Amino acid sequence: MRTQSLRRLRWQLAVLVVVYFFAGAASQKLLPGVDEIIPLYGWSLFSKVPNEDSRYVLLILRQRKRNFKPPIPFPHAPETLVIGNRYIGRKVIQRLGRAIEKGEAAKVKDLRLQLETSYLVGRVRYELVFERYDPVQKWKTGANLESRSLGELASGEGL
Amino acid sequence: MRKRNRIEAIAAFFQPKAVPGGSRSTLDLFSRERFTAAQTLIGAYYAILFFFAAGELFSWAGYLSTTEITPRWPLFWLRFVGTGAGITAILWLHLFGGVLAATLSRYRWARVVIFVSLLEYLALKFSFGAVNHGDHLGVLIAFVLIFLPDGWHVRQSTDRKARASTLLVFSGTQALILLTYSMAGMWKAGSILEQWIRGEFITYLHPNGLAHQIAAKMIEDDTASLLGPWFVAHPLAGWLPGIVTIYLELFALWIIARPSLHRPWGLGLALFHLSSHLTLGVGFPQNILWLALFLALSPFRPHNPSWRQAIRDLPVLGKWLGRLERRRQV
Repeated sequence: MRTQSLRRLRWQLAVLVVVYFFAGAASQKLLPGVDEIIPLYGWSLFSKVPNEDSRYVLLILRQRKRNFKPPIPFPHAPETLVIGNRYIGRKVIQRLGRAIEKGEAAKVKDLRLQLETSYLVGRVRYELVFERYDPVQKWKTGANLESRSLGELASGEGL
Repeated sequence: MRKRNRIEAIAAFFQPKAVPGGSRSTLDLFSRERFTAAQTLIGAYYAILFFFAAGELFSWAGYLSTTEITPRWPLFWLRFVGTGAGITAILWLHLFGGVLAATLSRYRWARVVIFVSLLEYLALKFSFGAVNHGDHLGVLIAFVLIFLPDGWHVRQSTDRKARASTLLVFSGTQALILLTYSMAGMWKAGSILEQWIRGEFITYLHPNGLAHQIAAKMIEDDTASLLGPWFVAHPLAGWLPGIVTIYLELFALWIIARPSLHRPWGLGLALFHLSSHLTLGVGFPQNILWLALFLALSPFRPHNPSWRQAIRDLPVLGKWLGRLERRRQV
């Protein structure tokens, strides 16, 4: 009897581990568009080594009548230009860049509104730039493999 | 003799084989001493939860002034009570869970409440956008500890079943902790193959692999980590440590039935977190705490640790290194 209950407990724990493995992996990798179902997680963290990487960069060109030469990158802008959580702000910029490239007008409008009202202070003119680079070379020299402008935008303009 | 079913055959694969003439390294579920050690460690875990709940009081003002969140699934009920009232309830529940952890964790109902309070609090914390994966293990451990038997807290217990069940549940928490690392290792190992197939030659096995990863993260964060720039300038220094890390992660679950490796693996994985903080700027401080409690201080670790036994028990390499050592002795 005692052995039986121990065996049952061992089974329950083993099933728990197996269920977590499959449910965790499924929640992160197999269900496209589904956000994380906490506390399940697939634990795919830094799995791939980026041979090349890319990102969208927001450069602030002007605030009201004040021009910035050279333009100020979003993460390094003073609080008179950028407010809020810059980590999440950068994620919004990435989504905006992708939406512009795909021509998703409605999404672009939503993301611009979010960016310009939650992170940019006042009337700001900014440029979105796409960069593709070798991470080590970029870190050492700042060089990109490719760099192109997605255009200049201004807070509230065209929305 | 009863024939093993498929699941038992898989479980047997993870069991260490007896070495002729050597001591067999297995989990001892009936030891009074190990039971006492497990009780102490579980008690420490619950005391830490109390400490965390008390420490979060400093964040209450910020949460209480919140009016808009994007609730995670455990907060589905917020729509029925309103955000403000819901957040207040979660904060009090979290504190109550902490008090229960320090006082009544002997009761299963209390352990269920502790788990729910943690899950609700983390769901609230993650309802502002980003998820911090460094908080997951604490909740998962709370869930496994719900399975603790009645009487797990009794000092000098004479109940053999309670002792064995307590140690079994403790090994269950170890398994779940180690599983998360094995999953991370599987993705990394799988990604190496995937990248090769796609013609990308810089993987974790490449001498510049870790340097690429570190540089990409520093560019993404727009900030230099403490040791990151040095590793980018000296890529070879990170080559072997990167491969050892994947080995530690990939075979983490393997060591569950090899107590001689509990301490080295716990410390090795904690060291990995320290180094990833110094190089990638990614910190998992809570994981270091749980690794120290549940693995580095594992109640199953041998009384007299033998590095020979540990080497023999090493996943994959153990057989080969053990054979080399025996040949040298002959």
